[in-house]
Amino acid sequence: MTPGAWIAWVTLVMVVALATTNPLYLGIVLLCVVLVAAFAPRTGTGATSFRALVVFGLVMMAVSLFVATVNGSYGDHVLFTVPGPSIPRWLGGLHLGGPVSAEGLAAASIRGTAILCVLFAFGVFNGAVSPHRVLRSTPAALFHASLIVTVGLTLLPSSIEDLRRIREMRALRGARTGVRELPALVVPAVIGGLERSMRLAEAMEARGYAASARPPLLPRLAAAASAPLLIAASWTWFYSEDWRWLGAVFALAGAGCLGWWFVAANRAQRTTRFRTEPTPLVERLAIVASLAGCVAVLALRFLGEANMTYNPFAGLPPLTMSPLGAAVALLCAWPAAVLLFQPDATTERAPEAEPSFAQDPAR
Amino acid sequence: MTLATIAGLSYWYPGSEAPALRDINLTLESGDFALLAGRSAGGKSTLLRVFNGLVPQFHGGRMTGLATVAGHNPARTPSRQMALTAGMVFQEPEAQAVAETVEEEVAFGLEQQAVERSEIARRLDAALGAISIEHLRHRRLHTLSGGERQRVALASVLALEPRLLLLDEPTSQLDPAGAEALVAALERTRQQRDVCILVAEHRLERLLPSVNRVVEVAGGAATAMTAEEAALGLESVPPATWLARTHAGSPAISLEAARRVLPALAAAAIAPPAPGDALLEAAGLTVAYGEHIALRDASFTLREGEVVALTGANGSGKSTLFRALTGLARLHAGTFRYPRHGTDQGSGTRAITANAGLVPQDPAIALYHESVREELAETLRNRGKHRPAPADVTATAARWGIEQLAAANPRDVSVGQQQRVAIAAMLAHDPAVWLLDEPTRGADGPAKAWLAGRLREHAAGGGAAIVATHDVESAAQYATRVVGLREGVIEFDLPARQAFAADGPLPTQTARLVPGAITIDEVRRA
Amino acid sequence: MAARAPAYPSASGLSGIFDPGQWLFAALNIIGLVAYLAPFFAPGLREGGSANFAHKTDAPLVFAATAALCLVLVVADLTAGGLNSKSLAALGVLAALAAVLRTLTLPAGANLYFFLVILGGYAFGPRMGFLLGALSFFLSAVITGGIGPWLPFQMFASAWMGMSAGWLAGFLGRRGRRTEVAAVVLLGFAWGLLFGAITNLWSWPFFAAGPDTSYQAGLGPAETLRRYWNYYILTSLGWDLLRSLCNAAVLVIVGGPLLRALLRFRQRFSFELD
Repeated sequence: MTPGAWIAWVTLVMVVALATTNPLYLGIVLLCVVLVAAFAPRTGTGATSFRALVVFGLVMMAVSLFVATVNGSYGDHVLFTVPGPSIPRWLGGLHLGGPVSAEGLAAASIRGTAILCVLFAFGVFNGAVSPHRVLRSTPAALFHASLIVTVGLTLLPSSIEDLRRIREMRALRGARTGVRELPALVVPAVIGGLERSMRLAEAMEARGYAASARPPLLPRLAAAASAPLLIAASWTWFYSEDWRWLGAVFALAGAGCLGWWFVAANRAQRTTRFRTEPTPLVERLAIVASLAGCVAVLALRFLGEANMTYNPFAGLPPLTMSPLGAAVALLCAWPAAVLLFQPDATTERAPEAEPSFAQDPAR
Repeated sequence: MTLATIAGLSYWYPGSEAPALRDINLTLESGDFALLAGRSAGGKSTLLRVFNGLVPQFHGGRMTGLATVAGHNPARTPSRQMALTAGMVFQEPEAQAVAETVEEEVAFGLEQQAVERSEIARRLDAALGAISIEHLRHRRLHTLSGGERQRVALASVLALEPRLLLLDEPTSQLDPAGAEALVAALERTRQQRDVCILVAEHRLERLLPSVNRVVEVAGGAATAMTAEEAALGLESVPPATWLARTHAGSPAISLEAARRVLPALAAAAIAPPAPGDALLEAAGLTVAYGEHIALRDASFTLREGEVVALTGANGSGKSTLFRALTGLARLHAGTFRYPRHGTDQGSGTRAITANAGLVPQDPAIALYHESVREELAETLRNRGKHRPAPADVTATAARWGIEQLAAANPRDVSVGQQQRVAIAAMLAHDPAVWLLDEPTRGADGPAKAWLAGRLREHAAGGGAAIVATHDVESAAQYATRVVGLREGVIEFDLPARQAFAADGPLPTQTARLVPGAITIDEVRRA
Repeated sequence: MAARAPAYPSASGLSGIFDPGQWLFAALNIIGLVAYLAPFFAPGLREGGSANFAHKTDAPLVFAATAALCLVLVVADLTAGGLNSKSLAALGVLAALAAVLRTLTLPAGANLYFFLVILGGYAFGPRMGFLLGALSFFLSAVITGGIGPWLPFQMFASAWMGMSAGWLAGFLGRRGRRTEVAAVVLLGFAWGLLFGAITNLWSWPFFAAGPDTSYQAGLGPAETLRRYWNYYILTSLGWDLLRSLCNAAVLVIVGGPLLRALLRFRQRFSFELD
């Protein structure tokens, strides 16, 4: 699968998981993500972080429950009361302990599950997509930023190597180890790296790298204007019922400004990308479906349809769900289907494994 | 057809009073293959950079006079445009790559020029094909050897189809095999394309037979000549050329040419001093990195007065042997001992190196003090002299010929001087055993001669050294013994006279021309 | 393309207050900050009610997303066509080193990442500091697999850290090395705490459910701040304090020598970035 398709999927999971508070939908999303994780390749450099992110997700869930317990909670169904002191008023007056309600715990687990879904999905994403593929698919408007990151990635192995060699050479000169050695390690690594970067800059310049023209001023101003427009849009939408239509206008105007800037910035960057990954038809369809799913979930949420929200504080009402909502939640499993029928799509183009950033003393 | 001219050009680096180039007048024809020769820091690199505008556009500074390359004035033409006219390959393979894979790297310049994709594909194929590296196409750059990376750098430049190709000491960081491959690629390029090539290089023996012009750059001034004139006139030339010049008075640009003109010469062999007590005893050293066995069952003894040249291709285990002998690499099997100090494989790097100083490759990387004095003083302090007396530091600086640099910042001095400062800093405590890893890499003739003298002096004073090197000619100047490594195994361990002889594993040019000699000094003495 | 010297094409082509880039940079940062801090002064929800569990997170999430957008726009505008090769390569190598240092985790989650961004920003100015902070964090996320919704906020926090160091340098001027190092150490200490406070904020409305720690719209800045402070004490103060102490200690040891070396480097390569 292409990075674009993975990004679309991660976005879908994130939007669905954050937009709903219905535990049934969250459960479906979580199952879908687990299913995708079972099929997804683990070839990217982030593969090692997959477990870490899953563990982190579980820890976050625990924290969520912990905070709910330690700080007590609202709700009528009090399960037990935790005794505890209060912090002085001038330090915030935090009251530790108090009544712990079933509602509070339910709310905390719902939030925790949502975060777990997102962390888990990003764990899959980081494991499946190599950073170079992500950088190759950045839009031209961010060309220079991605070039800096690419240069950084290219220099990473030699930076690690430099640090190792400097440390060894300190030992060869009979230096003692300890924190006082830190400048002797860091100063030559930084300055030596910067000196090498000047030679790299020279080589890039000799090969015709030069700052290209900036995009024209007007689209840049439009880009800057888009952010306050979007803020105004959300503000009117959320906080003034009578002016919601105006919020929609602001949102459209902001999106228009952004689009204009994006087109202009892409056009101003006069470079070509030789190697771009073609997106197969299936994945294009899936990307469109994901975006449609995002829009659908948000629409359902804002219109108050399809049991998207569940409020445990309203006396722990029984759980319900609608077929439409469940269908959108199930959409989160699409990469599993794609990967099931097209396992080849996951192989990397370059024949070698991703570089390991662990120390290799042989080199 | 004239491709490039430089007329009355002088150049000063920013903040410098003395000109780096003075009154240069030079013309290059299309199809020329020209060699820039001369000592380090003499202005070769600066002159090269005039042709593509890096001087003065990247480096700043002040310039008078005029350069013209294919109708452009490089000092004013934007680099984006200039890159299409003059391409440049730099010294360090590591410091000129931007991308992750070979293909992306070669395409980078073309992407910058917003060349159409189909055209990029065509030129990419052509450039990779021109120097026969199609098989590297999808490799990741950091998995390539230095020689392969330099050829990728050459392909990246060729893809832009420049009319002038500039190379700044492109082989100085490579082993002989890598250097040969690069020079072969250059020759092929010259045959296939209408391009003028200008190479700055110290190692003349490889290039002198191929070039049609030589430009000597010394003290910022340039003199153009033919290859034959260079064979007679240049200050440092390969031994074969030197012998033909002094003993037959004729220009020889290659070993074969020298053989044709040279009369039979006599030689007075210089016998190395007899070795004394053992300073280092190693038995069965084996080092493995994961699955890869880098050194297998290496045994030898190093005695007082010996200087061992350690040879072998890159990756044959030279650096690993040094790391093992200083406790940096973990031994899988085997033992070593420094009998005079009683340290052995269990002693730890700090204790071992009190008696055996290792100078790794590119030692200048670890310099961090703000003056050369402080660098030297720190090593002395680490080695037990609680507060080294200023006189001690001065004496150390004098021993290494850097007393006039004592107050300078190590980052400000020239590359050659920096190298010498770094070696001095690593060996300031004067250990009995020196372990030097390619200390003459990228050095010019006089610098190599100076180091050879320093090594002989050290051996005569009862010390010993092991020097890893690819440079047979300069090793013959100082080595008493030669150890050859191949894929982690000691392939041969011979006295220097045998190893460098015409029928030995590493014959020198002199040995192939004069029976019974291995260096020109021996011919000179006869 | 204009035939100007490509050595420093962007280096203050239009300098000072006439450079629209400066204005855009400032404006986008302020907008981003405002959007990010919106939870502190947002009015009550139209549905109201203390137990509105479902909707209280909508507005903060949308505002946080807008702040993330601002970050992308700042980075795009700072780099669009405007970086000369020296700045680009220097940023690349500093980002690589910072990313490596971030992987060397010390006990208690502290690490060596912060000092390089702070000293880089101090030596090379606020805009370079901003880019260094943002891009080095991105790079380290890329290599360690840390991409996720939290990344924009970490990048923003780190970018502001670098930028504030650049401002500090401008504010202090040439003041004697001891003063400068002391100021940098204080800054490092403060950012150890601030970094945690900034990166926790976006997810806060999700988590807490207690009366003293949870987010509720419309409480006004003072009460919201009190609740966030309690949440912060409960979840991250301990870690962040350790990180602050570690930052300060590292800067005490490395600050002086590295700052001298960086300023020398800048001078030697006639290096102009801002």
